[in-house]
Amino acid sequence: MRKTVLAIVVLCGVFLLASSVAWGEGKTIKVLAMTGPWVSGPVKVHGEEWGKMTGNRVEVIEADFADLFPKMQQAAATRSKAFDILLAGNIWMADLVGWGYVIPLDDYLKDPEVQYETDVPDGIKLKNMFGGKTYGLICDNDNMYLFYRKDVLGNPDYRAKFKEKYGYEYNVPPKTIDELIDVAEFFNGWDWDNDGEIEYGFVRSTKRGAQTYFYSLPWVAPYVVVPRDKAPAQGILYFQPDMTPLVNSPGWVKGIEKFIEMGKRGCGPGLDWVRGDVINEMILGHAAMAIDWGDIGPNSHDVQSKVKGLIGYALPPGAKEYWDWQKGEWVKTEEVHYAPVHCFNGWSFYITSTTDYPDLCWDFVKYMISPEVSAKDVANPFSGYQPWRKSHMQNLEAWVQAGWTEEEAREYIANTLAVTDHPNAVIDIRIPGSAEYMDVYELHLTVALSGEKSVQDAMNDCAAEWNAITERLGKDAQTKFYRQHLGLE
Amino acid sequence: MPGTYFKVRSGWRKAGIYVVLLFWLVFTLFPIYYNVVTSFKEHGTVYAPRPKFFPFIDFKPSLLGWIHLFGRTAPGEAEYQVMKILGNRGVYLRNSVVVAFMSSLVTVVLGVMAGYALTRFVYRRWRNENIAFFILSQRMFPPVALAMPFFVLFNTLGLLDNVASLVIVYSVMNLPLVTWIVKEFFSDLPKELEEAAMVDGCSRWRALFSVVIPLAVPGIAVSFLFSFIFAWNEFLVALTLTFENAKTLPLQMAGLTTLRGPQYWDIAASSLVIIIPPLLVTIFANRYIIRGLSLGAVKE
Amino acid sequence: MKPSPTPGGVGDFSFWGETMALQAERRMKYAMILPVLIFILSLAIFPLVFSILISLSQWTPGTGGLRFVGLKNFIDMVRDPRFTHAFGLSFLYVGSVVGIELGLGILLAMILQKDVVGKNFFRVTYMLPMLLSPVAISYVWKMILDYNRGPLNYFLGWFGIAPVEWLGKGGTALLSLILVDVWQWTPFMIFTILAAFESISEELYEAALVDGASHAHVFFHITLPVAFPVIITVVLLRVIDAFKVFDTVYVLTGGGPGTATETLNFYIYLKGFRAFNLGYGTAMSWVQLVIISIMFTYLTRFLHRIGALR
Repeated sequence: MRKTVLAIVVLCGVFLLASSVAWGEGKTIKVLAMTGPWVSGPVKVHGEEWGKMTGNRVEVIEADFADLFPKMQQAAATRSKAFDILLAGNIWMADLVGWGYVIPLDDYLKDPEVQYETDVPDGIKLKNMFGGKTYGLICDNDNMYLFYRKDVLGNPDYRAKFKEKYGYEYNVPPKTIDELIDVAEFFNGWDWDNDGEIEYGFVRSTKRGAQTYFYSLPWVAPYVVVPRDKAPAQGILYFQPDMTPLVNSPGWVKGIEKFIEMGKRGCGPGLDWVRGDVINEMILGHAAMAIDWGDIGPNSHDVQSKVKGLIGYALPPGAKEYWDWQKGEWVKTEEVHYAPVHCFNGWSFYITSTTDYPDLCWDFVKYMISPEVSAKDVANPFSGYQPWRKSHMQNLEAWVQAGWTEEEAREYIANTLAVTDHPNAVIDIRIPGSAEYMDVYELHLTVALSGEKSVQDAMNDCAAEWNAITERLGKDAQTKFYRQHLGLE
Repeated sequence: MPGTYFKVRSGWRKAGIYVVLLFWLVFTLFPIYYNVVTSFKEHGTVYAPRPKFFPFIDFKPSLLGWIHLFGRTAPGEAEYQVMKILGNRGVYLRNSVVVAFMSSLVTVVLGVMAGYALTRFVYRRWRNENIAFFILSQRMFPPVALAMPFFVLFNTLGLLDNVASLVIVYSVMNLPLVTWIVKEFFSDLPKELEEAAMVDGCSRWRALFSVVIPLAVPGIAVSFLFSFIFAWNEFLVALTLTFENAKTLPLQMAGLTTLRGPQYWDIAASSLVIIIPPLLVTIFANRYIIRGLSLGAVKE
Repeated sequence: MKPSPTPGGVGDFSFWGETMALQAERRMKYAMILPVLIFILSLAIFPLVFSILISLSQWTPGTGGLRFVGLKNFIDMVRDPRFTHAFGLSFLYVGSVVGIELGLGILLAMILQKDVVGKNFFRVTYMLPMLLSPVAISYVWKMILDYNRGPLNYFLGWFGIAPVEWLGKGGTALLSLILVDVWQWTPFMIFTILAAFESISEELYEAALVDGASHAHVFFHITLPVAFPVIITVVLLRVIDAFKVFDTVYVLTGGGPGTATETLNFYIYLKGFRAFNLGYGTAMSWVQLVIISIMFTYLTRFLHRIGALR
């Protein structure tokens, strides 16, 4: 017995020693990224390639989504040299810049090999910038749009039946939120693909702590954003430029009411839906429509998918009215008015200010975002990256390999880029504390969803809490950050 | 008439007892059974409209989770597969084993000392109950609030992302548990045994090692078991103090909630493998616990 | 729990005459406790002092650093409805889970003490929930409690009961969390209480039965009183750990809907980690610590007074 214990102690000691042995020559670049295979995966693969080319080493430090931001905060707050490159959310840019934790990359981007000026859409450039300088480089272009079953919505029988019931013919895909709800209701709760199971009209996330607030944004934006005429412009959604919350404005409240109405009329029952449900219900053919990030596209060509080639892509539906917060009145429009939201904006590369080798870091980032490497990644269903370069439209080889037809791939990429450069597009909010603002919003959103309070009351509570956060962080400073985010300063 | 109290004679009472036992058995086992079943599911069967319970009978089992567990790719995934799905699982496993064993060992050694001291000596100035409460208070503070100070501390000491830091922190966190349980067992041991040993010429140290500790083995085994389990499953401190080299398995598990939602099949398969070391420790410790339960029956 | 030390301290041995031995005794007395205290102090002092400092400051990452704000964080707490709500909720949660677990633990320990068939099988099987990783278990329960696809609603359907919104509505969401906690941690109670029961000598029972006492009488007058100190210890440990509930809240409800399941520990996490309002999070932690400590002190004092503790 005593010998066994002794042996265990010695063994553990040996393990301890072994684990502390340092790595050999060459420089090691430490990249913080979200746990793979998605998002961090390409960094590992290309890191190995790049390491072989340059004789250095890329070490990927993985963290769960919810833990990424806290990890960066800790490192920034203590000036720890833990990370050289961050593969982090674009929405955290204001925090990172505010802490002085990331360096501007404008000088590096003059490198002609990057083709930054010519090949990168204006909407992406806008997202990469903060207060006039470029701090992050998007390798994944996030925005939410509409996915629909082309075969189901396009079925002439169903269209005729719909007309009988609702008195009008729907567009494929639906163009306004009201139309979307009607169509979803029509396709909800019966077996429209004859597989013996009941299907749903629409799927979305409704649980707190499961990115639910993102799912509500495409519903409120058309009613809140005042249309602009020039791209790329910044749709104003969350606050007025002086940091007065718009979250309890009549436009926002109407959007949430529509979101709840959809839940009652067009979705499966239950309020415990999360994002995994949305993607899987779509790719398993259990739902007709969803508004989500682009991932459903590549996932619909995954092994598990039952809907290969059946998914269509479109702008998220708009509305024929909006609340003009400047005038304080509802405005009716002839045309449908769209306002897509860049929920989360996308994963971006940042170089930390604590790194010892900024140039080497840049060399690796440049490799990752080069037209050739990025074209492969965006077509890969295991990357989780959405297309963001204009040249991704041409370079379709990887897509075809993954089972897409060229036409289908082009349709998907074109829709993603159209949303990106839309004149009314809203760039997800980047001000210090944005995570806290959104957590508070999600809290009150779920109160409204569960029906415990009216939408207006819940949103009033939210606005009050938003104001408190603004006060705590300093109203002047926050206003300045917000105007920088909007590109007004 | 030995054992009368433990015999159940009344038929109704007997039936009641077995109903309760079976009910609790079903309640305990169903989630575990469902976990096992889930490890043989894939997207289509997890997200099926109705729950599926029996492989081969109401759904076609898939080895997806288990294939991923061993770092392979399922058929059809191969051509897109660009990376190891699991990261450095071998390293995480080694870290977990080292951290759980070392910290439990440190905890038990220190806990036995403290437990013995608190039951056998009188500390007039500090008072024994204050010492005991001070030790207990180490477990009360929310780890969330201690995470940042620990981060700063180990950052300064250069021990971030090093298993040593986890061993130290877990030892402190589990010390209260071990001290209090061991203390309980020591105070149940009659002093006469030690005194007799000391009369025979043993020093107090010798008496401790040859009389007290062997008799308190069940308590020590229980506390080792509990501190092993807590260290094995600890998440928040590991999250704060590690990056990659000292990462433990619970962190890997949390990473399985991906961009595409929780990978239920992977989580289920992993959790069934991760349970093996604590299960072995339980079975190992159980021998001493059962033996000890009757041995400790000296209390009157 | 026996804070009053047993006799047998220094000088209690009459045969122990020599001063050498006394010195050795004293040396051992300190040699046994000092390493423990030094170990804890060296590790706890810095974090504790530092956390007090944080609780009095606002910490902005980057150039801002630690900025002293006095008692602002503590004053904010009073005006924060989410804090008071989380605080009350934590007590409700801890009270329910520990109460239920204690009841079930005593009941099942009592049964397992009897001569039942398959005793050892039950003992090992009942232990299983504790061994599984809390994160993994939370995901299993998330599937079981799912409104549309979950087995629980499916089983209820057999009895004609309409599906229940286990995770999407306030009251039931809290109930679900309690259910999972009871499932996972009742084994801790069963195990330790059983150990205490088993350490009672058989003769004691037999003697009581010979005297004509009923089973209930034996249980309430012999078993329970003797096991009482152990029961108090495990209840204390469970209370401390139940206050720290995190994984299940995180996975199952995210604190929602609204703030329906936002326990204090989870709120501290949200404020301290997610929002990096570390000063506020730490201040709340201190309040929680102090209140639990006071509660415990009074509880143990009360138990001493009624003579429940030796």
